[in-house]
Amino acid sequence: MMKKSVRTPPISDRWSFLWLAIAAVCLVFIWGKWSVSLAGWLAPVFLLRVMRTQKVIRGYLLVLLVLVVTTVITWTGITDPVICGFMGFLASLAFLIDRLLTPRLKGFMATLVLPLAMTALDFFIYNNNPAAGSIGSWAYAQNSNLVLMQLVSITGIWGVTFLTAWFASIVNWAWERAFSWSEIRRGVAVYGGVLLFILAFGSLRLALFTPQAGTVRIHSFIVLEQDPEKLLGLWDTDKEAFRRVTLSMVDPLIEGTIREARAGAQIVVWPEAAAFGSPEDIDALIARGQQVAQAENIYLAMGLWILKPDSQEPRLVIVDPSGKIVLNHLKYAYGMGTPVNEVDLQTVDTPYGRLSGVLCGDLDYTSKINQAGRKGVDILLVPSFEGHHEQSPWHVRFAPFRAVENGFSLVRLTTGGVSIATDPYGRLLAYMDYFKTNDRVMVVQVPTQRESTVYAITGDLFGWLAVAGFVVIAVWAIFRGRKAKAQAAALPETEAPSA
Amino acid sequence: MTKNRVSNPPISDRWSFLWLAIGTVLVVFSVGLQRISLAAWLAPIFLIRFMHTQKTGRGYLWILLAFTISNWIAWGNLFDISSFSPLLTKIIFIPIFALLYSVLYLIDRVLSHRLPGFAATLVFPLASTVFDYLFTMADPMGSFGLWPNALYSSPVLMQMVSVTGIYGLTFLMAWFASTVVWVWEQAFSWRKVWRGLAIYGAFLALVIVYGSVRLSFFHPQPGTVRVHQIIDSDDELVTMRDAEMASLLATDPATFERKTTGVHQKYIEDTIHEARAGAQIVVWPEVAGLGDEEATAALLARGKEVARQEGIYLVLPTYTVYPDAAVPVDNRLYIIDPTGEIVLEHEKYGCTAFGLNQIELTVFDTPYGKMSAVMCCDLDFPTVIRQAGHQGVDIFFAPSNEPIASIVETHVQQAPFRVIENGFSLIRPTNLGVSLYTDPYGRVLAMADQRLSSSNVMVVQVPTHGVRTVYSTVGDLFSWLAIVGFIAIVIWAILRGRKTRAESASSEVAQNAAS
Repeated sequence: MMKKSVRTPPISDRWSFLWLAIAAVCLVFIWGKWSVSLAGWLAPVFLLRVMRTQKVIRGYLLVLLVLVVTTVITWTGITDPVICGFMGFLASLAFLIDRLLTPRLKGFMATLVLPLAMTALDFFIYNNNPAAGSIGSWAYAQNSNLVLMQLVSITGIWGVTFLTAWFASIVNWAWERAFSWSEIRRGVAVYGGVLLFILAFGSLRLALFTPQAGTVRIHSFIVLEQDPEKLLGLWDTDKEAFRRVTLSMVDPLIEGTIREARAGAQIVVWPEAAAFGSPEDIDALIARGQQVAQAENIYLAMGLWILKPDSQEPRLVIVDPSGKIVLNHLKYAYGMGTPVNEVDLQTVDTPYGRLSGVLCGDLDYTSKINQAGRKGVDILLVPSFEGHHEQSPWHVRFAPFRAVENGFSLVRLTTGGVSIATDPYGRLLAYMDYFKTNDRVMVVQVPTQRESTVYAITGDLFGWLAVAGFVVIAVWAIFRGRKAKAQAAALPETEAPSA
Repeated sequence: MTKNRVSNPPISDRWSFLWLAIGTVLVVFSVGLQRISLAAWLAPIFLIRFMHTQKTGRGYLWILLAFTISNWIAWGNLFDISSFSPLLTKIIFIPIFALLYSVLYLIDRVLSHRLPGFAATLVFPLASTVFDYLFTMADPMGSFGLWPNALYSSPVLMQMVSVTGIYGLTFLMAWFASTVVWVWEQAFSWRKVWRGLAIYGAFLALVIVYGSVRLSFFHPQPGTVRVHQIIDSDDELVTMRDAEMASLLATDPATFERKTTGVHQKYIEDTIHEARAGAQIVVWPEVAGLGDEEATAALLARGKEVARQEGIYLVLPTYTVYPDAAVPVDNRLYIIDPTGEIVLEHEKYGCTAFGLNQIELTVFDTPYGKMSAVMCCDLDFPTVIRQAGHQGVDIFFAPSNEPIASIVETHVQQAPFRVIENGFSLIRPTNLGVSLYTDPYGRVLAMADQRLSSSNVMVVQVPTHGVRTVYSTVGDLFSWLAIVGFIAIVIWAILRGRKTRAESASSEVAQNAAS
């Protein structure tokens, strides 16, 4: 008996491969090009079932295979297949850990192995990932559920990871008890209580809280029609032609800015890489931007792409109504500029609240954007640029999470993708799809005051608690496993006389 | 055993009144002015459970009381819109509401035990769907009181209404409750309940997958029109009651004139400004053109001029007040095309009388797609708005005005249901409330609460292509099926009840004879 509980053989289940197939289907829709909330709940349930109904090595190889293949399917066209495969591998680790540790623990506590392992890994890998920020976290599958998303205002996205993973281990725990109510009711009540509490928190937060009165009118517009890759190719082959093209893009930007200012804009935003050019040409453009900002009495946020002989610099420059440069941000995402560990977000105080800005992929770096929460930023501007058509819907799904986490309003203007603006609760204030819109101007009234959130203050606390919790439960499992094995070895001798 | 089921004694449960209390509290947050979807999912579970644990008559009276109290709280001062005293309106309407809604629980209590197994769970959802469908047809408030409005926060589930209309969600939620109660009554025994759970689970999963796929893979075709919204109304003026306006006009026409024409002037100036800033359509909210007969006529004439001169469509609501308070105000919507012609004239009908489903909508073609329009709570009448879906409208206007602060959120929450049902883009400019623009799938394109905004202008790029929905083609087929289903299940329950009674009687006779 004792021995059995320590080294549980795989549960026999002739449907094991059906569960694997269901998991595979769900996994295609959990992240990457498509994201369906339901898949985010179900995929871990069936992956776990497969692991537990197979021998360790065989089960793990099956799960790994399915994860790698589905990750490649769902991320192809967005990133490199090798990177996709590696993300699949990273996602498989928590299931292996669960398979190894859970049999050593007894009862309901064992359900915590998967959520703690998954959350700790998610946090460890993605919170400070210099390569692409938090893009690989499964928490983002819940992007369509604004009520649940409110949880990130306390825990960060790691809370969502925990909740969905715990669901998987709870369902499996009940499944292994043949859903016998008398055995599972306490466990179901505990998880149900936690889930209910979180949903009630989210519902009440959304029902009872709106931003404080006061908005600023932000106009943003996109003029770029050229294919940027062709444009950058020109830079390599024919610098004169490149200059002709890029200089022809300047006037529409300046004219558009004046037009929007006169239409009532208080802040005008250009997307990332609105203009390309050599440092001299970009300096000249910034000078024109300063003149316009002063003449029209606006704040102007310019997304600029500076080409130097040996490097490229994506920058965001914000000019105030006196024509002064008040923010000059160098992109840090994907190793494109500022080293990630040196990031220190700049802020600027304006009559419309405290402003900050980053560029596109910078927004996916949870721990960096948390600086904006800590620094009391009211409005975060995120000029963005997405290269490929099929990329358009996936990236924008991550954006509202940052707003809810840190309690700022968000304006994300995107060339070649979806532009959005949200309030500090993640409610959509404006939405514009580059590919569907004739006249690419987005105008939005954005609340000028932030909402304080727990996450903005405590930052990575929940993530670290999950790491600590995981270490404790792992040590405990290993220790218990040893002890039980020792007992099991001792048992036959003690039992022998009585027999 | 069989006899037990027929004589239908209550299930014994010492927590019975706890369930009633929980249910009552949850109802407060399910309907009315503060809707929370979680509460709306859970409330009926506890109320059905309560009914099943009480004797029929006694249980029903308690439920009636529970609904009266919870609705009284839930609807706050919504009733402060009629010319009656609010208290009197509430005293009349709340018990009627409670009486109607509580009947569903009575029907379930009386019929469900006569049916075998999982089929019994269908009584409550069928009854609820039929009730919601018929009740909304007659209700002067339209869909305002519908339970599924609480699902405004679940865009995935809401997609279901593109097939069934909003009443499909009634069925989904009500069946959830009766299923949970059924599982509860089987003491959560997996062996007994797994088949039933699988059936409901499959239904729910189908709804979720449909909604997820629709939202993930479907977008409107490319093509947008640039819409500018202006709100220049005078808050003090538009929150006055009609009688107060009439008396101001009668006693101090100079002040009334000055106030209203000043507002008109601003609207016209801003319209020209926005047209020159790039607007293709300029929209004003309901009651923008508030004035006496002469002033509103002048405003309309001026609006035609501006529309022609600037080459824009102008959405221009007027609100004509007469010095004689006995003459009702005229709340009207005009849409003027770039040639200066009126292409739509619509008189607001919502919340004015019972049984408002005969209204005909005006639909017109433009370079930006087919358009139609109503005003404010006209939008809460699914049967009327369905005409727009049926005629393939691409863009639908619903200029609104929210003089009662407490219903602002409640009201705007209902709008996306009409959008998803009929597949048009919505333009809902709202004075003193939340302006909302959505695409034909109910995705928010722009949202702004005028009370929080520092600017009076909104600019939105609105898709010019609607989508055809199943609902706009088949209409209320689902609700009619529910009616048929309900009649069938009632007959079945009655026949079964008789049969079992006869059987138990004959077995009694047989027993007596044997003894």
